[in-house]
Amino acid sequence: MIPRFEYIRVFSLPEAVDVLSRREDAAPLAGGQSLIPMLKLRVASYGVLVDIGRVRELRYLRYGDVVEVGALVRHYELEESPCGFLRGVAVRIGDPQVRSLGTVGGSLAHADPFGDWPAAMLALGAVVKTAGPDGAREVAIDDFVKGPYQTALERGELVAGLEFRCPPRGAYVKFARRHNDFALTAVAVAAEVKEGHVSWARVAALGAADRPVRLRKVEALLSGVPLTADVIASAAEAAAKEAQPPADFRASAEYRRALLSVAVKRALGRL
Amino acid sequence: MKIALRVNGVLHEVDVEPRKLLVHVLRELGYKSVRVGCDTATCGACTVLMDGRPVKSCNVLAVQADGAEIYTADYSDEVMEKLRDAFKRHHAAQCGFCTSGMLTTAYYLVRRGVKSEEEVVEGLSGVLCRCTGYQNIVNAVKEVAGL
Amino acid sequence: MKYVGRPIPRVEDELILRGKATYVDDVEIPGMLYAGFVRSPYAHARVLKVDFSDVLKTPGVVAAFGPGDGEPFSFAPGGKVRYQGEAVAMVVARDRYVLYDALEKVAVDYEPLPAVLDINDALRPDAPLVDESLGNNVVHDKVYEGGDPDRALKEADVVVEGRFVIQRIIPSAMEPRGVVAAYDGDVLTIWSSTQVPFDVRKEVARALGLPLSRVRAIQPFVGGAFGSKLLVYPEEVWVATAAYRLKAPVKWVATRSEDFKATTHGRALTLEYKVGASRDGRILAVTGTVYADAGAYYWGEGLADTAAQMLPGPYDIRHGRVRAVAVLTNKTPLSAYRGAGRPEATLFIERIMDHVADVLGMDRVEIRRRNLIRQLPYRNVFGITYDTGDYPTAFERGLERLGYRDLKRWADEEAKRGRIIGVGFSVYVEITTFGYETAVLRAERDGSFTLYTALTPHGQGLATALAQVVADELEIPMESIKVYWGDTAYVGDGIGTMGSRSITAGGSAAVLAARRLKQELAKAAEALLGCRPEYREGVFQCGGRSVSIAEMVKAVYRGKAEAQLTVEAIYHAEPTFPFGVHLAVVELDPETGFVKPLLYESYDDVGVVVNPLLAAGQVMGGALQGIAQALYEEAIYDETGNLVTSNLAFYYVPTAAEAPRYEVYFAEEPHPSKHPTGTKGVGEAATIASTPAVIMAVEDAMRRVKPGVRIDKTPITPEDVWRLLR
Repeated sequence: MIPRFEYIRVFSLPEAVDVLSRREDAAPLAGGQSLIPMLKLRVASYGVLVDIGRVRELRYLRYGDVVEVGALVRHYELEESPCGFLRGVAVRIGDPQVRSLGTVGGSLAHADPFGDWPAAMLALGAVVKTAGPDGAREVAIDDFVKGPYQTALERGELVAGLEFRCPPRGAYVKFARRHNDFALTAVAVAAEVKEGHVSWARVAALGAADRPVRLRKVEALLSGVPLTADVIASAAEAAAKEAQPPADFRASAEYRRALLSVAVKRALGRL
Repeated sequence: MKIALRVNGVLHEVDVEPRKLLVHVLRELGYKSVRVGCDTATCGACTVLMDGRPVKSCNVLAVQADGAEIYTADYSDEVMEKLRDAFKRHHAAQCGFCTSGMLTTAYYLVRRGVKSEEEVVEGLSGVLCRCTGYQNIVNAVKEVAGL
Repeated sequence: MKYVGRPIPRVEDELILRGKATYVDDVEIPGMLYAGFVRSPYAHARVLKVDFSDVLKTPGVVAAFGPGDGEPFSFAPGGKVRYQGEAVAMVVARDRYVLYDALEKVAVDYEPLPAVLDINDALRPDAPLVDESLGNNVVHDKVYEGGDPDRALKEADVVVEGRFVIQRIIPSAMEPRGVVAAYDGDVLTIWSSTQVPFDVRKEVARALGLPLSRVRAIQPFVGGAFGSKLLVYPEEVWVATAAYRLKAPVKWVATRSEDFKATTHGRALTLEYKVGASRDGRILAVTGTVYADAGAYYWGEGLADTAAQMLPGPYDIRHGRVRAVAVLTNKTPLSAYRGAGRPEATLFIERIMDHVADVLGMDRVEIRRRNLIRQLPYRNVFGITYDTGDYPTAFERGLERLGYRDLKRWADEEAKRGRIIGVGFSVYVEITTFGYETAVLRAERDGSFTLYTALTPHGQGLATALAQVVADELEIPMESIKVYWGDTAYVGDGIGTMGSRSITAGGSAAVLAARRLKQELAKAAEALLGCRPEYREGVFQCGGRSVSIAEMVKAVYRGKAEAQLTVEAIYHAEPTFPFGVHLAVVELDPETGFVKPLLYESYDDVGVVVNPLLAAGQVMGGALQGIAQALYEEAIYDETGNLVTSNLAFYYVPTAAEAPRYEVYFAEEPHPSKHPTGTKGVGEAATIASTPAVIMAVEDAMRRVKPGVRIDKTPITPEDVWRLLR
């Protein structure tokens, strides 16, 4: 059962920022799909939970040249997205019930090293829009995730939304022990292929380090070359070399490394 | 804190401690079909429909659900009765502990117009059953969904 | 026979499908208090001090009990805890949420001790002792022997040695354990999520010095058990004692994380084997040692012994010596999990058969064909007598029916297209049924019948199956029979649902009760009709006159005839032995080591099948549990004795997405047991047969990539597969 906390429901972004910046022991509550289990298991507790679930400014989803995803967009809302890459990620998150409530912004802010969205957003090169006591900021996704459960968010700040372009081509390959489990490893690729040549590719992985990371050597290898079997094979090999996977009860580092290589190969094969 | 929940069409106004989980409030209101089988939002025995989507009510604070429209496995309409009948004929329930979660999830899938066996399986994958091996549940849902 | 053999939907479902079935947490009594336990974070520690001063000041806290409170509060016996999750103290509060705050306020001083977690470590002479009074960690050591194994090994053409390790399983019934107890000053009533209400009653009465007649145990609906609820747990006695002392209703329901540590685990047996065979594939001798990783207390008596005694399986092996050793470790106590010794025996012997076949270069079907027992009854080398069956015929028909050869050919075809399919099968004989069971049957004034059974169904559908067998015996509609279970107020004593014994032991008791009640009523009918009546379909008739059961019962109540309207039958059931062949098909991703179960098929001779719909349900559910043992589940402890797989998010109970397609067959000409029902039991058959079938299928698939690889443990995880294939 959850330890006691003070509950403050806010209806606007400034209100949320105000409470979060005033109260040191406050945490924002969005969908709660990661937070509530931690509270229940008593591995986390907060003096104040600021329920931002009803803040309308955070609930938008716009598809234009740029895709704009409000922080409160729930995973399921992207299951049938016109952007294929987003669909591919969304359907692999948790189970349908978790996807009903879990939010994209929450996933980013929580920065679970095995969360799906942070790696996917790395591949997309998204811009994280934050709101805080010092106003709004735009943080490149590469600078946003600082470590396991650590982000560039400062006190009183929260994720307001994300912006990125839907990649011309993309793929998300995830290996998990059980259907709804966290990934052993997963690889997200966003790319453009013109006249048989990769004009650019962003490749991100989870389970390749203590946090989601870009596989820059893989990206470099792909740049400007045709996506042949040989290129894919050397990209897969480079991924394994570049990774510093963690070990836990789910998998050894060595096995994760091997899986990562396969995930890169298969993701590139699907482009 | 005072909240309002409409459960199976009936409006309840209750005063709850903010830390109280929706599942406990529903159970205290008498909706005992909503069951607690885990503490990590894994088993899905507590699944209810909240504003049209299946959610794990052990993973929602009651205050978050304030104003929500909720349906539990106690609900009765044509689709739910068809599901009950199919579950019975297919022997889709054994110990019965997960059954409410299966029924509410199945109800959502049928209402949404699930299109294939794969969608039924993925749709039910958030509810664990330790007794049946799942095939009879999947078959019952497929039948009601007209698959 | 009208009902037996028909796939009749369950009568239990009306309540379950409307959410109206009452599980223990649904029991509400005004003034309910909530109990919770402070549990050790350490695997092994001295408990120096338990301080309640803070907690007792907390508003809403009613009472706290600790090691100093005397019997029956047996917290930290001998001043120490022996596994992570062992209870140290109990707190009772007015509200569930207040309770969990309060539990954190109990201050416990621990002095951590070195923990022993592995049986090999536990067997070292310098190992930390789990139970100092033993002098070492071996809590049980017994040898089973028959024939002349040493000579047979010496004379064998080949001797094959190996080791097979079976993991710890967390039974994971969907309903965690829980207890409600209430004392009204007259009767102490206990509702418990248990398989053994009669034992709960006996144990609580003994602990509190109450007469059995003033203690009532009720088994409400139980959300699965699988053997993990067949012991009386300390919490049942403690909650009952708290209710008795506080004169208030008290409820405890475990959280899932708590349940994973406080409810017994299963399997965890290792076999070291040495077998001798002739060149033509006959197994001459089986020898070895079965080690049980018994955990912190020896609650799992007989698990290693059952595995040892059933090790020869369905094969005619005339010489054997198997030692059964139980070793204490600082982990949750080991006890029964669906099959309890037989799944392990079957997995061991099936792996041995494959190992020998490999050494001899023999086909896996052929080696079994050459060793199957030909004539029943058969006394195995350790003295267990298998009752009825025709194993060679069932084996051949089973393989045929399941399409083994076609599937192998299909797998060959798929391999040409680069798809790696593995096909495996297993053969088993298992032992079911023991002990007594009780049925009480009452004829009602309107011609309906009330059956009280001492069985304790928790998903099996026994209310339906019992109504079927009794309806057939009484030649009346099933709807005329209402079955009640799970209440010591109905029946004096019984054992409960476990060991695939229910329909055989409890069903036979019900049949006997029906026969006796018919005899009773016939006596009265004779007095009323003046001639010796015949009974047909609820009516006694002779001399052109007839009397219905309803009329008979009314006549007895009016004093016009004499008969017992309630009869009790206590049936003692000897073991019986189901046999079967099961088959598994898996697909292997050789790059990742991932294995997907595609198809699971079964062919069983379980004697009479009372209800094929329910029996198939038992097979499918049991199969997935065994598949999970083969591929997914494992209780993992870290080096300090911390349970890493501490909840359902970390412990891989399969979802619908992992489940295969199933096809369930029962033998066309079954061999009934000698019991009145003719049944042999089906609850555990597939749990027993599935793990070896899946393991053979995985190995078969792997050998398409790397010939000769051998699996010597469960589970075989994707990482294990990947390592073996490298």
